Amino acid sequence: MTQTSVSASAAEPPLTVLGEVRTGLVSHHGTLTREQTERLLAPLALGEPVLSWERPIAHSSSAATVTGLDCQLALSADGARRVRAVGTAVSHAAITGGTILQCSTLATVRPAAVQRRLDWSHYTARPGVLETISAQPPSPQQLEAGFLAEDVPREGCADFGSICDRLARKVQNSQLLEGAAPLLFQWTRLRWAATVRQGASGGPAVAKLQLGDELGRTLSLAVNASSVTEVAEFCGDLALHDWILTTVIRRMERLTADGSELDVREISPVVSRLLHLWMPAARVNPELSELWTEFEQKPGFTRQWNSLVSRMRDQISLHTALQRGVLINHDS
Amino acid sequence: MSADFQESSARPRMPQIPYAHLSIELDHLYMEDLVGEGANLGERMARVRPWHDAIVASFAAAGLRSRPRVSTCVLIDDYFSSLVSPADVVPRLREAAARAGLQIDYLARESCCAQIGRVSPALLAADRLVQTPAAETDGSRPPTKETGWLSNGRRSPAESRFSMQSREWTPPVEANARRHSVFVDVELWDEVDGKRVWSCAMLAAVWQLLRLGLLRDQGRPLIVPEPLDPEEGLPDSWDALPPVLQLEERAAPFTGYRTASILDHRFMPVEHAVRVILGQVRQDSDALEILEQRARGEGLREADGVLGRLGYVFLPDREA
Repeated sequence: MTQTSVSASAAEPPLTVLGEVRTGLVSHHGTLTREQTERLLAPLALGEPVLSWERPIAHSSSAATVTGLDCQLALSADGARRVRAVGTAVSHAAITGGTILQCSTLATVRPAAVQRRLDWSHYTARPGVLETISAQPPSPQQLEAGFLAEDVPREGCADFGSICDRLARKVQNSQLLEGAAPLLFQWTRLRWAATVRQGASGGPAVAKLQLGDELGRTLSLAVNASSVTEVAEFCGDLALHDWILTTVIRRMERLTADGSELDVREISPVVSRLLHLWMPAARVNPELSELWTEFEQKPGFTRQWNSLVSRMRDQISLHTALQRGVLINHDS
Repeated sequence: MSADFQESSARPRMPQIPYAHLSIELDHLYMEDLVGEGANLGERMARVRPWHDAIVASFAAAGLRSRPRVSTCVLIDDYFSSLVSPADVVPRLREAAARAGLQIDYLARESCCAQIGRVSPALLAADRLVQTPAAETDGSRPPTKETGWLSNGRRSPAESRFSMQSREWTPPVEANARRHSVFVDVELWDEVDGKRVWSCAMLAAVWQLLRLGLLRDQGRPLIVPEPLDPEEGLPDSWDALPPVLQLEERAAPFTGYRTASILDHRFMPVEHAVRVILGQVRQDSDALEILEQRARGEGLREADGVLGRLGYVFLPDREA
C-alpha cells in the first residue's frame, strides 16, 4: 500500500490520537471469501470502496463511518480533570482471514482555534477530528492519562467502546451471515493513545502495552514518521494477535482445567481456524514494525504462540499415534 | 538489496475533476414556470443579468491570479412533473438568455439528483449525514433519528395524547444557537406506494454538492456533462437527456470551487433547509482536499467547510 506520512514542519505541535479496537469472530461458521467480506462491509458506507489486501493475509476494511460528539475527555487518571471536546470520531470494521472481525473507533484531538463550539459544518468537513475547547490546550500526556485509565466508560466522556459495539452489532446482524461463530470466544478491547510527533526530531518511537483485567488492554505510543492511518493499523494488528493468543490460551486452560488430557476434537477448530492467521506486522511501516520487533522480545508474542502451537501439535500427534496403536496407553 | 510490493486494490487515488472558479445557477425552474403565455423567460433572464454581472465582478475583484472562469447553469425540475418537453423548452430558454446577454452553459435535470443510472446521489448524500450532536453526546447511545427527517438541533420531546395535559411543552432547541433558537426540521423524503420520493430540499442539497464536485461514487464523479448529439437533436422526453447537458462547447467546467445561485425568493426556505442538510453531510476528505488544494493554488481564499462556498441572490417579485 502507498501512503504519505504526516509531513509537516518540526515546529508543528504533536498530534494526539485516541482510539479503541474491539476484536472477535464474525458470526459465521464458514470462512468468508473476499467477495463475501466486501459485500458485508460495503453497506456500512455507501458509495465508498472497501479496501482489500490479499497478501500476506486476506484483510478488508470498510470505509469510515462517522459519529458526532460534543462531550468530555478526561485529563487525569481519576477523571476529575476534564475538557470539552466537539467534533467527530471515525470507525471502521475490518475482517482478517475471512473470520476475525475488528471494529475500531478513533479521533485525532486538536485544540480548537476559537473557544466555543462552531457551526456543525466546520466539524463535518473534518471527519475524525475532535477539537478541545479550553483556554489552555491539554497536553498529550494529560489526554493519554485520562483516556487510558478509563476502564469502565465514564458518564459524559467520549465512549468509543459503545460506538465500536454498535458497529459490530450492525455487521453481525447482516443477512449475509449465518449467525453463529465457529468457536466460543470473548471480545477483547484495546484502548490506545498515540502521540504522533510531526517531523522526525522527537526521539525514538516508543510503545507501552498493558494487559489489564480480563480482556482489556491499553497501548501508549509515540511515533515520528507514521500517519494516523498507519498507527491505527498497527494498533489493529496488535489487537488481532493479542486476541488470537488470548483466545487460544483460554481454550487450552479450559480444556486442561480438570487435569485431563486435551481432547483433540476441541483443539481442531482452533487449529483449522486460527493457526494460519498468525502474521505479525503484516501491513506495518518500518517505524512501527520496529516496535513490533520489540514486542517480540518482550513479552515475546511469537515465542508464546509457537510454544502454544507446538503443544497443540504434540497433542494431535499423540492422539493420532494412540489411535493407530503405535503407543500403548497404560491408563486404558 | 531492496524489494517493494504493492497491491493495486488498496487505497485507490481519488481522480481529479476539472474546476471552474465559480458555478452560477441562473435560474431554477418548475415546469409550470415554462408553460403558457405567462412564462416570460425573457423577462426572467433580463432580471437575472445585473446580478450575474455583479457576482462575476465581485469575484474578479477578489485578487484572482487570472480572469475568472465562470460556468452558468439552469436547473429544471423534471422530478415532480414534466409538463413540457426539452425540445420545446431548451431553445426558448437559450434564446431568452441570449437576448439578456447571458449564456447558459449547462442545463441540468433535477431528477439526476435522485437517480443517475443505477446510482442514487440523494441516497449517497443521505448516507453521509452525521447529525449535529446535542451537548453531552458522548457516543454511548445511538443518535436519535426520525426516519426521513433531519433537524438542526433537538426536537421537543414527543408527547402522547394522554400526557398532553399533564406535561408542559418543552421547546425544541437549535444546536449551538446564539442564545435564541431558529429550529428547523427538514423532511428529506417520504414514501408513495412503497417508493421513496426525495424532497425538493434534499435534491437541492445534492445539487449543490454535485456543483462542487464533492459527491462521488467509489471515488468517481457522479456528473460528467454531455454535449447534445447534433444528429439526434433535442428529445421529447426529459429522461432521454443526459443528467447535465452541455449547451456551450467552450464553456468553463461545470463544477466550481464556489457556487452562486440566483433564485426566486420562494426558494429561500428550501435553501435554508439545504444548508441545514449540507452542514450535516460529512464531507469526503479526499474530494474536499482536491477542491481546497486546487482553489488555493489559484489564489482563492479558504472557506470553512462547505457552507462558506455557497452564495445566493434571492429575487423579490417584479418591481414594475
